[in-house]
Amino acid sequence: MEHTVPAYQAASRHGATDRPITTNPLLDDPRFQALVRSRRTFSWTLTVIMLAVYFAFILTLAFEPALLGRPVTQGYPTTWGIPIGFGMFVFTFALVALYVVRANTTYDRAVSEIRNGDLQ
Amino acid sequence: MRRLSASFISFSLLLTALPAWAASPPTLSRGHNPIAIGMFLLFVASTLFITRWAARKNNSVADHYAAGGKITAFQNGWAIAGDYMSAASLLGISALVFTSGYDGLIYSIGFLASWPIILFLIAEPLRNLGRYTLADLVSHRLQQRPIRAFAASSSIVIVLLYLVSQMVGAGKLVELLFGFNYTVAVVIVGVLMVVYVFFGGMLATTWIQIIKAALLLAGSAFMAFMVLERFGFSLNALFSQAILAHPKHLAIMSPGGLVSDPVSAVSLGLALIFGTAGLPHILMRFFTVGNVKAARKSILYATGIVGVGYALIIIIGFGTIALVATDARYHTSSGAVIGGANMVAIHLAHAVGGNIFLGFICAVAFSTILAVVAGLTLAGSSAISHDLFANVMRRGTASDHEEMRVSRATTLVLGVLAILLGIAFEKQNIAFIVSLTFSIAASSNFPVILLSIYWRGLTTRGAVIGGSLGLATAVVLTILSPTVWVQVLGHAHAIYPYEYPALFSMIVAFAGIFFFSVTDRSTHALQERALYGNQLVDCELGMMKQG
Repeated sequence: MEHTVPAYQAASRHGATDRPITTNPLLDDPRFQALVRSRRTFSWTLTVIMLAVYFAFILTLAFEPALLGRPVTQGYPTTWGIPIGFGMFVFTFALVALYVVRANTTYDRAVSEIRNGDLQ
Repeated sequence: MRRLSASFISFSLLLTALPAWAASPPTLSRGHNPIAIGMFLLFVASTLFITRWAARKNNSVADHYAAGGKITAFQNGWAIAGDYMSAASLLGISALVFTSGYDGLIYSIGFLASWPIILFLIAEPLRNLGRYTLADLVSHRLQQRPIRAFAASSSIVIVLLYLVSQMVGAGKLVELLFGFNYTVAVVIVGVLMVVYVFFGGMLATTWIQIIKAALLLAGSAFMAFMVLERFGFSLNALFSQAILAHPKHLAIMSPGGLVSDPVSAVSLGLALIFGTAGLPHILMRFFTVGNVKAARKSILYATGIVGVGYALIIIIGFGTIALVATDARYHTSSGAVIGGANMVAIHLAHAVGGNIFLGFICAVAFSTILAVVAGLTLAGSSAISHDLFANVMRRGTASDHEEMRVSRATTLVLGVLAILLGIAFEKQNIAFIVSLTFSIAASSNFPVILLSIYWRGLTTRGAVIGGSLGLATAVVLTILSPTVWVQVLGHAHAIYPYEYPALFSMIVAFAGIFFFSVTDRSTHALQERALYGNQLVDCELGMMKQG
C-alpha cells in the first residue's frame, strides 16, 4: 500500500471543476460493498461501546460517587472504585486488541482479495 | 464554583507541567542539583547525537515529515506513548492523587479512552488517504485551497497554544528542578527543539520520543516497585498507610467531587476523547509507518504502554501520600510541600532512590517536554510548508527542495515565536490554554475529519464555515467561562457558567457543517459529493493506480 496518487485524482488536485467524474467500478462490486458494510458496523459498534462505558463511568462519578466508595471487602481499605478504575484501563486495551485482531485477519484478507482481483 | 476551578487547574496540570507554582518558592531547596544537571546534559548529548545521525537520512520531504514511512509499528507505538505522556502525566497525575486521592485515576482514564476512538474511526482512513498532514485527508475530494487553508490554520492555532503552555511549563519546571533562570530555560528548550526538527526532521523527533517514553516508563516502574516493596507488595497495606497519612483519610479512596457538575463533566470527557483525535502532532504519527496494518498495531502498543504507565503513576501517587506527606525533609518550616504539589513525585524519587535517582527523574521530566515541543514544532511547520506553501500558494507545483526549505525556515520562525511567547506569558495565568487547545481540536479539526470520511454530503463550504464556527465558539466560550472571565479578567460573574466549552462548541461545529453543506448547491458541491464513492474505495482499500 504505497502512497500513490491515482491518475483521476492527480489530474483533479488543482484542476478544473467541470470535469466529468468516472466512478470507480469497485463501488458496484458486492465484495467491496460487503466489506464496507461489515467494517463500518464493527467500527461504529465498538465506538459506541467505548463511549457508553466511559460516559457511564463519568456520570456515575457525577451523580452517585458513593457507589464507587464502598469497600470491596469490609475491613480493608480498597474500594470498588479501584478495581473499576484499573478495569477501565484493561477494558480500553481489550477493545483495541479486539479491533486489531479482527482487522488484521478478516478485513486485511478481504482488502487484499479485492485489490488483487481488481488488478488482474 | 471554587471546587470547579480547582478541578480545572488539576486538569491543566495533567496535560502540561503548569501553574500552582505561582505562590511557591522559586527553586527546590536543593538549589543547583549537580547530578540532575549531569543526567540532563547526558540526555541532551545523546539526543544531539541522534539528530546528527537522523540528519544524514533526512533528504526529502517524505523523510522530513514522515521519516520516509520507515518507522516500525512497535517503534511508533512507543513514540505515540511518548507524545502522549508528557512531564505532566507523571508530575500532574501524581500531584492530583497526592491532593485528592482517587480523583487522579479519573483523568488518566479519560486520556486513555481517546485511543480506541482514534483507532476505530480515524487512523486507517487517515493513513490510506493522507500523506503528511491531516489536510491531505480532508482535501481528498474537497477543494484544495480553501480546505487546506482552513485545516492548516486551525492546526497552527492548536500548535501555537499547545507550545505556549509547554514553554511556560518547561521554564517553570527547569527553574525549579535545575535552578536555572526562567528565561534561560525557555531559550534552551526553544533552541534544542529547533535543532532537532531543523536537522533531524521526523526521524530524530521520533527517536527522541521513543527514548523519552522508555525512560519515563522505566523510571515510573522503578518508583512504583520501590513503593510497593516498602509495603510488602500489598496494595491494601499501601492504601492503609496513605489513609493514615492523608488529612482527608478514608475519603481519598472514593471519588471526591472533582467531577461534580454533569455539563462540565461531559464537556471535559468530550474534549479529552475527541480533542486528541484532532491534534495535528498526534495524527502526524500515523504517516511515519509503512502501511495501515502498522498504523493499527502502533495504537495497540501505544495503548498498552500508556495504560501501564498510568497504572504505575497511580501507584506512585498513593506512594507520595504514604511516604512524602509525612516526611519533614520534603516540607518547608511552615508545613507546605517544597516546590508545591507538582513536585511530590520528584520528592518520592529521592525518598525511594536517593540523589542519583532524583537526578534521573528530573532529567526524565525535562526530556519529556523537549520531545513534546519537537513534535509540535514539526506538526506546525508541516502545516505551513506542505499545506499553505506547497498546496495553497503554489497549487502543488513547488519542488521537494523548495518545500523543504520553507519547512526549515518555518521551524526557525516557530522556535523564535515559542521562545518569545514563553517569555511573554511567564507571569500570566494560562491554565485555560491547555483545555482550550483540546476543545478547539475537538470542535474544528475533529468534526471536519470525521465527516469527510463518513458523510457523503460534506462540502467545502460546510467544512470551512462549520469548522471555523466550532473553533470560534470554543474560543469565545472559554473567554466567557469562569476560568478566564472571572479569574483572569477579574469580572465578578462568568457569562458562560461551565468550565469547558466542548459540549456546546462541538454541537455548533457539527450543526454548522451540516447546515452549510446541505444548503450548498454549487457545482463544486455536486462534484464533491459525487467524488465520495471514489474516496471510499481509496479509504477502504488504500490508494492504487487506476486502469
